[in-house]
Amino acid sequence: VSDARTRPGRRGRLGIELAGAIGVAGTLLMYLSVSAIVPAAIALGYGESPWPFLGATAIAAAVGRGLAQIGRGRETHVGFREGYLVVAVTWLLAAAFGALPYLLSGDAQLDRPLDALFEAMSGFTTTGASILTDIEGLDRSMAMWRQLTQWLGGMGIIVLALAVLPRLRVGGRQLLESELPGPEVEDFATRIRSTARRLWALYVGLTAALVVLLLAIGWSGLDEAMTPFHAFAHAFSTMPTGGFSPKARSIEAFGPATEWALTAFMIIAGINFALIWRATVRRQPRVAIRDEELRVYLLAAVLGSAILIAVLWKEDIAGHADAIRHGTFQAVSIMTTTGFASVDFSGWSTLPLMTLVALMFVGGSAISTAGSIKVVRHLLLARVLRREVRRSVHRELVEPIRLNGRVIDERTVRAAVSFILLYVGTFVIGSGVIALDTALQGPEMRPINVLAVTATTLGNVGPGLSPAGPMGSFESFSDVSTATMTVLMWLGRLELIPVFVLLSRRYWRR
Amino acid sequence: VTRAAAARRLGPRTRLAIDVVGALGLVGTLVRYLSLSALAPVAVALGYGESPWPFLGAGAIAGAIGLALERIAARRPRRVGWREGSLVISLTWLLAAAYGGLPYVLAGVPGLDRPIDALFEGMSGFTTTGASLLLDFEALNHSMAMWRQLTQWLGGLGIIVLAFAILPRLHVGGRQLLESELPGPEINQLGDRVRQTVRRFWVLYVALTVLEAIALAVVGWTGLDDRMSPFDAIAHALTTIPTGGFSPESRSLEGFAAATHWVVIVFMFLAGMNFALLWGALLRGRIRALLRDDELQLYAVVLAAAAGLLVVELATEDLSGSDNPLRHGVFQAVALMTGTGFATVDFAGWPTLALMTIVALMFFGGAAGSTTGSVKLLRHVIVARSLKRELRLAVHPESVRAVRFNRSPVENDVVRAAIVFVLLYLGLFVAGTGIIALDASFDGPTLTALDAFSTAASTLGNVGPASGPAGPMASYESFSDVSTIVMSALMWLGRLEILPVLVLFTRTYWRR
Repeated sequence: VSDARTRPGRRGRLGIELAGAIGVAGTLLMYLSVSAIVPAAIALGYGESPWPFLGATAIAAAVGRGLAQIGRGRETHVGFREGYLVVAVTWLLAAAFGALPYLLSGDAQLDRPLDALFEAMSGFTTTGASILTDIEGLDRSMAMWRQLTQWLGGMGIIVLALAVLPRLRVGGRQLLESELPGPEVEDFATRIRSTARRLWALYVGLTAALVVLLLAIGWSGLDEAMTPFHAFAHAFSTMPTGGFSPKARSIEAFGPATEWALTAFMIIAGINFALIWRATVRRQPRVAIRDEELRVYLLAAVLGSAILIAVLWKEDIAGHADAIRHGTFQAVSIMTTTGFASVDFSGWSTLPLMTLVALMFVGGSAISTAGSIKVVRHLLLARVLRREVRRSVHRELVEPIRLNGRVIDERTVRAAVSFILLYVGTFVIGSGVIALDTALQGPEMRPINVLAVTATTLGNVGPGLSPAGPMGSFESFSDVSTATMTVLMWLGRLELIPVFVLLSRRYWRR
Repeated sequence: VTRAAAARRLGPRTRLAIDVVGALGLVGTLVRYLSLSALAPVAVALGYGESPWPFLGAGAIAGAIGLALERIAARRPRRVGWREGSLVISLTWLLAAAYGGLPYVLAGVPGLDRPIDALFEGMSGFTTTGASLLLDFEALNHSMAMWRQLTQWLGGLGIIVLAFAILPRLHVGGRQLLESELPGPEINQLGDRVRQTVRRFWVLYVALTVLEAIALAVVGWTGLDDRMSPFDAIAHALTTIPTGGFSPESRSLEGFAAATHWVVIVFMFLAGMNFALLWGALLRGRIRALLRDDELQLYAVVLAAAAGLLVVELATEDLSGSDNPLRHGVFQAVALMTGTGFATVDFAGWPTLALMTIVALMFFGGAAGSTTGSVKLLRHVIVARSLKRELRLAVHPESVRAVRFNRSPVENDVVRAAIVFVLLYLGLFVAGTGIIALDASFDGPTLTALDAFSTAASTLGNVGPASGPAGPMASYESFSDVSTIVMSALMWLGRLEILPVLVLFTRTYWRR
């Protein structure tokens, strides 16, 4: 905090260490560039061209190195204030890197840079919105790269949620206190590193478990469509609550066994990872059962499912037997911001559509890979409002907000409230831009569809309603809308504030 | 509260923390005064040779209930303080709505003769909303039509008292910013200063109404609008200044001429302004203070943007209202933003962007200290600036800069109240939308999602018309009873700025 005062000379006229921040982002990009080796290997295995991936690796590594060179020796001056810039730039660079293979492959669906960037941003933000119209026409290696971008994005989010955002007073740090007791002490970085490593292990472990489960479903004949390729592909996009699928009709292409397996893992992916770690590895299941966020999370999922099941049953949209399966799957998929679809819901009636759009604002738990507002903030908000209503009767009332019996710091509470207001504001402005643009350049949309498309990109969910429904595509939007939605995904993933502060003059000045 | 302090409070407060009987007594007094208002439609009825009995009956019943409530309280010493204020204003508005609905039931007006429906119409009147269950406007005789208009005008008078005297004391309204001192621990002894303030703004309110009635009558006499009879001139003036929006015509202002529309636009705009500033500008010549007001500037900007959008859309597409895009676009923007809810065209059939603009406008409202409902511009300004401050805090955690309004710092408590209000408003909007959508899917009209949104927004924001079955030329009658009750509650909550009603449902309010 006191950096600015202690090191006046080095920063020149800027208030922040720009070169150092760019250097850090460059270093991260350099590491990330290695990941394209995986699809290159797959390409070789299937006899497809590995060059788009190798090319992407080469370009990203070179750019990353170049940027790292700029910041050489100045990384140590990168403090919390530069953190916003590092995070925002890294995600942007990651999306650009993710887009390179699409562009280099020359596939006609993604050969425009903006479209490729949209698809890659949707990947690295684990959104799952796709501009593709013929997904099954992609090479297998390219399809797997799409899935992989989401999985990598999920790893990034864990670090973000755990280490970066709490430092920036954005995330729900209070939940961390079980893992990280005490204030921000000297060995914060070490602590974070070990925690991140642990949760990464959990993330990898859960992905592996899902792969094994899906493979078992395929091999046992429960679902003939579940090949090993698809087992890996869907595990890669379930755990980060991403929602990309190499199948054109998403999960509709698979059987009930697959759908129930994915429902279970989507729910797990939306739970606080630190909590899962404590419940399973540390064998403290009680902590999990008593966790207030988890309870509300499960309650919201049950409530959302119940409404959908009731309507599907009553209107007999999908057959009585399937109502339970589709209702549960869709509620869980949208609420956890995964965005898989077991049925094309864009033609549903008003009430279930409104339920789905409402679920887009719930999100999963803090420290999960889910996007959107997240349950803990809803919980804090409800408690703040309850307190404030009481306070309007007793002005002198001083009542701390508690979560899991622990008093929450007022600054954290304020941050949660501000976040929700900013989120709503961004949503309104985003809807306005998209409504304005679609009125001018098409496609024709009903109001709820405009709201759904905005909510789904800002909340990193994935599918909207027609024409961007779960079986549709975002390709019919104009460039303005595509760019807007790319920005919304970026904003939503980084929890708004790191990007918004970059827009203020104050951030850059001393 | 310590035990000793509790012991000192013995007396009427033994078990309850608030003096319910005393509050009821005060409500009784207010209802008794209000019952006199039925004399106005009685006069109209006699003038037109219609039956005065529904109004006399309603006046008698309300008067009797008022007296009875006063009697109950008369035996005990009154201890009505500010804490009882929430109960008093909530009950008063509820009873006023019931009283407003009585003549409809007594006269058996088709469509309004069921108590729930009559209550809705009465609530829509006294909250100056303008949502109507009426289908058959021809069935209304002159006196009944005028009564509907009058309920809105009376509601407007009540809102001025609320906005300037009561809500600030309950730490609800944004008018803590008004520099007027608010003395007196007893709600029934409003300090002289407040009484003066209220009287002053009542004068302004009456003057504006008279001015508009004259302007409209002149439009009629000069032949600019042949349909504008003196009756219509008075009827529409009575619902413009309280930003109400009832009209004795089934198709609102559609049938009137351009001159009428422009006159109403001007007065709707004036009614959405802060009355304190308007008073200062008109009588004290403080025009600069008015023009430099942050709220007025936002008012102008939002209105210009929305009107521009609607005008362009009407001009480029073939819609209802495309015959004169400028007039209809401006009219609809002003009517919906101020929560008046008049319509010159049936906008229910407009395309996506125009409809979304209209629903967005329902969340603005006019200035604080006006008769408009909804969130109000002051709160938008404060919340936006507090978010800006939060972003600054993210960069400079040690920075301590106050949120400013009109160049002076705003107290943190006011900022907090504004944020809480906006969040509660959003919460109620979401809950209301959910219930209306749920209910309509089981038992009611087929709604699109936007219809559900707009109906909830329109009733909570005291606007009036919505889209779909509740459009400006249609009626709310197709909704089920559950929805009708929910919408009545939303109007009530929205008008009283949520908190005074909400606290009544907490245990904290009644105990200790």
